[in-house]
Amino acid sequence: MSGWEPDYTAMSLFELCQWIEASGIGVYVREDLWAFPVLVAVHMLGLTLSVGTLLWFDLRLMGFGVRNCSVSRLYRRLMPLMLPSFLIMAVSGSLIFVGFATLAYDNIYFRIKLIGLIVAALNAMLFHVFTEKRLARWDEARVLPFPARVAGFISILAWMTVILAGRMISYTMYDGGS
Amino acid sequence: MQLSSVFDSMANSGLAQAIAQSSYMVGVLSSVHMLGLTLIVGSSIVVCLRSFGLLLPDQPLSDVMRPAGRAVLLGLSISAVTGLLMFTPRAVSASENPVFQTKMLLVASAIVFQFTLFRFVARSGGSRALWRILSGALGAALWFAVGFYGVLFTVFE
Repeated sequence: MSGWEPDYTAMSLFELCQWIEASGIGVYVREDLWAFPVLVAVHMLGLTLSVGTLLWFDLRLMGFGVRNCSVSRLYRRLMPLMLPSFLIMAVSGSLIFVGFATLAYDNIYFRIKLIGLIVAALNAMLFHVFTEKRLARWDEARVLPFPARVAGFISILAWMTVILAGRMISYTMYDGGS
Repeated sequence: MQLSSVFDSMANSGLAQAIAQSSYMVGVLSSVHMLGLTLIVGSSIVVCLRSFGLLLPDQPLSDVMRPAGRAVLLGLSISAVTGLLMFTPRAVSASENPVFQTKMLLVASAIVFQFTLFRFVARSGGSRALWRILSGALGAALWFAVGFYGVLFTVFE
């Protein structure tokens, strides 16, 4: 065990980041020559694959792209591709965070990225809980109802924010983006 | 005029100086460059998998290729403009960097492949199924390699 043991009773978020960063994985990510570049490459490729395919679903919701395909069929077809790539992106992103947790904590773009991720997750959840319930009524329609179109638009906007803020983190890592 | 002197004058231009002095500017350009790459990779993969018959097999290929082609073109335009702007201040050092040279070679190969051989094979009939699968795999591999070398260049520059 490297570093110090965390005091669980009164630990601030920043102290938690320090503890994560001092872990064996954190040290490895920072100090190994290949760990960081390989993780970043995997993270970016996971992101381009997951968001690049999710975009097809979002555009379909907005009434663009493959409009001849029903929404449910497109979702079923894309899901096996999107899910593993989202998983790859999440795991590699978490490992990068472990290596640079305190720098990320201080970085404004990291916070913006987190907000983008939360908005994307909430949007997807609201779509599945409410909008999708009436899917049978408009599954085959070329132009979908307003809530579905809004869900597609918010998803694209949220993921664009995640990508833009994510790249900005690399360029503002040491000044916090302030 | 030699290529090296072109890179020299690019690197010494006012625009290059302005970009070089602002890490925020480079950050914004890099972010938008990434958006372009996302459009390219996502659309290429969808078309590649459609040509395998793994994705949307019941959709006519033209229904997938048309919007994908537009997305790839848009992504390429975005990536080309932002990439050129990022290249300007480091034109001399980047042009001598083997990782960057490999990336540009891969970009050129992927573009030529995407708009010539891949398009031809993908539009051909069922008799060329094996060629479609091979060309789909090669297309996906080329774009992934572009992304990978782009990241390597950013990290090891």
